[in-house]
Amino acid sequence: MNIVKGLITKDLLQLKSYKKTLILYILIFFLTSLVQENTKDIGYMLIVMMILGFGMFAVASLNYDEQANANRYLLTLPITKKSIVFSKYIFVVMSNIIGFLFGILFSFLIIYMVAGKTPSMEKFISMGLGGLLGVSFIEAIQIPCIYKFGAEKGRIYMFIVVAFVTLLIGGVFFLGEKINIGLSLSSILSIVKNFFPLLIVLATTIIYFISYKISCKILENKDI
Amino acid sequence: MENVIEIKKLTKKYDKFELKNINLSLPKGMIMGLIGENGAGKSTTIKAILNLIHIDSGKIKIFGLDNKREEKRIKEDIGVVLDDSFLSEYLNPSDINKIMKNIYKNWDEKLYFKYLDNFKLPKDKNIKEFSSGMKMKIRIITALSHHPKLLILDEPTSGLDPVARNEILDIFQDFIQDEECSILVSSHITSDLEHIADYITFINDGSIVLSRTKDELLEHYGIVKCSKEEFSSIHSSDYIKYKKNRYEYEVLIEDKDLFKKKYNSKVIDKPTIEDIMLIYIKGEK
Amino acid sequence: MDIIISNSSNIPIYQQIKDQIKNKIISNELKVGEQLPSIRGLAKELRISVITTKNAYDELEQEGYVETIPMKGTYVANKNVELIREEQLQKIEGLIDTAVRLAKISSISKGEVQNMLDILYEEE
Repeated sequence: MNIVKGLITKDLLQLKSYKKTLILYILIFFLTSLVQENTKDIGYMLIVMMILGFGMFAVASLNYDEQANANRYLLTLPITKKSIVFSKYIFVVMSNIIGFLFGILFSFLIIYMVAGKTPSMEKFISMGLGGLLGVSFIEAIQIPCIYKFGAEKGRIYMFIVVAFVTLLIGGVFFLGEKINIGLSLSSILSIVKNFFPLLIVLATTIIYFISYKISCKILENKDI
Repeated sequence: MENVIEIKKLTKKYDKFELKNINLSLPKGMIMGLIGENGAGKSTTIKAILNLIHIDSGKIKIFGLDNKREEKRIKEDIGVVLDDSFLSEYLNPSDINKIMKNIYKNWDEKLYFKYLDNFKLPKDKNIKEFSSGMKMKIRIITALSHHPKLLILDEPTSGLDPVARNEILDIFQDFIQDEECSILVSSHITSDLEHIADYITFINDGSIVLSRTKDELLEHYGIVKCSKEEFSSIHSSDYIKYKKNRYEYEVLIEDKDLFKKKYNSKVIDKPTIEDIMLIYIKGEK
Repeated sequence: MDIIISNSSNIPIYQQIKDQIKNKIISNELKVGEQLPSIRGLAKELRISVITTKNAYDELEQEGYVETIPMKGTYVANKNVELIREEQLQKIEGLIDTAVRLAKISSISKGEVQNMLDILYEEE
């Protein structure tokens, strides 16, 4: 466990210059939402933006690793490939959760204190979890792609995979609606509405688990 | 004598390059210089020792332990400096301490900061801002601060000025003051290493050409400079390789004294490691 | 301990070390029982390899100039310095004898040989 702690410490410390960018990012969103007319709607959007911001922050640590070719060095220490991947996923998930919590805090501040409205808890949670799922989905594809192809090429492959999966899901819904087997977007949404929070958490976990297994496999087979 | 590193029949094939049947042993307490051209296979051999690559066949033992099965245990006791890989340059030496103390069981914080002081490295400046000599020093210090028993270094002195190189040789020789400690160091420039290395292993085009104590090498090997006629009188089993220059032949021989007796020749130069390396690489047989 | 190593010399480095330590023992600069630097310490000081220093020490020990006490170090042995000098003198005499005989055969004068000797002595 100490190893994972050491690796996460490394991720946090090597991102210290990136932290300034992140704070700036948060500040800009915070301030622009203040001067908007529909502050309340923007407030809800803020949750998604926060999750996205922190998610980018986490993925940036992979770029820093690659820049220094750090994985090769790390493997000369008493660290296994598995712990490298494991700690990276822990770091990414932690960033997402922190982004989520910050997002709720900020949007609450904006909606309640600035716009003077009572925020809807349901909307909070659904926006937040929706954002979480979206970001997790992208990250879960992006991380193995970076391990496989490197940060530069990995980004291209990620877009291809994301586009492909989106089309696939869209296609299924489209077909479902066409042939009317009850698999329509509205019927899915109604299911989702009832089990929403639980479903999102479950989906996110599964996505990350699959992605983690793939990343482990990629690194295990790679000559570092 | 106990061997700290023992490689037997290592092979690894890439598309355009291959390590062929590498055998190597480094006795405890010794410094071995792994020399050869860029691309000869030094880094690949080091990567194989560290189990960073999947090898095709062969056995590698470190401290007498299998390098795959006992990988974690072995790595607690070795310090590694690679030429193309380290922690992010956006970290400073204090950060490195915070990271490493979680990673090595034996990480010695006090020793680490003592080294930083000794080598006048700033604690809170990002490595990015270091000179190349300082960058190499922080890598070596990081590799030394968990009391390793074996140091493995890939090209630690290339690109450094003579003063920095000298300081680094000092670190190495301090390290082996303890008879339990050994060093494997690769380099494509030989002049520095030549002084302190006990063993020289020369790798060329994926094969080990020679591996023996430096003293034997320098005392027995010789270079005969001769004319074309003289050269034609030398039997081909009596020399290793020759190089044809504009006015003379340079002939590398394995046993100076034997050669002297057989050919009654007077001018046999004492070669440097670099001379030997050059004739091996550029010469013909 | 001052030992000067020449990397360009034709004499192997271990031999250079051996000769200089021997010289210090014979000239009584190193006294009986005095501790020599450790093999690894001397290697570092002279920026040479451990094996080279070890070879020098091993030969000195074989010839009885020093003795090594395991785990403690290497010390100047209790060998009769006079005896060593005597041995060396005998060796030199033998070598000069050969030289003189060769000079006589080739009818080279005593003066010429002496000259040669002077020059060689200065060179060293």
